[in-house]
Amino acid sequence: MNDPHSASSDVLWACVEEGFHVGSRSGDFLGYVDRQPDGSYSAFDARSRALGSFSTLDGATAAVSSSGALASPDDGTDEQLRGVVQL
Amino acid sequence: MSADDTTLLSLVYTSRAAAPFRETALTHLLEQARSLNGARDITGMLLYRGERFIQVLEGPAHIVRGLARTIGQDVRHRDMRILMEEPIEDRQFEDWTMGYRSLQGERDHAPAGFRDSFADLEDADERSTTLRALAELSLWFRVRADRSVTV
Repeated sequence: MNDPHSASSDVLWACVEEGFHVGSRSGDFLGYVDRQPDGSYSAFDARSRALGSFSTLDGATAAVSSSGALASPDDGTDEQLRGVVQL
Repeated sequence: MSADDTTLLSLVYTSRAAAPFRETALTHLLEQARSLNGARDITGMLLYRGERFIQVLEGPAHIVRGLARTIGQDVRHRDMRILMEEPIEDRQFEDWTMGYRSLQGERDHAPAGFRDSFADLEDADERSTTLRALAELSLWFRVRADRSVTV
């Protein structure tokens, strides 16, 4: 996908604590962004797999939004995220 | 044994601290809770932000409901409100007799365009919002717990 933002307009982003952001689309968990001590933003998909490190929050959220890694209860999603993907 | 004795229940409530909690008072509260919860097969998570609590209690239905009543009468809490109460098949916090995290920041700390999970859970009128916000807080709790030793 050339423009990661084209897939992000329907993504709901929430901030749990300053620096920790969670994305979902229509109730499906997409992934999260966690700001690191060095100020960079690490992006993770719905299975907590690292998507990369970004210098801006926009860059990291775009990576999650476009990851397309929708989780479902049947795809072996990490136990850690079970509570999230059963919505 | 009644169904209430065997049914696993998840109950989520919010409350306000009757007085500002110092770290030592919170530590004491948690020590008490963990000791009692371990003996009563209760697990869960306690979050604290700006004198507001959100707590998830999991365990046998009759024990969880009794504990919620006790908390509602605890002078350290006020304005207790149950946000969700439903049977569950599996615990989400089976490793924690009462996991605890204090959230940094106050209400409205979220950047423009971002929902505030803590506020959404407290204020939600719709079940879908409650579930989403709870899932976000649970994820954050687990990610943070993986980085440190939390009981």
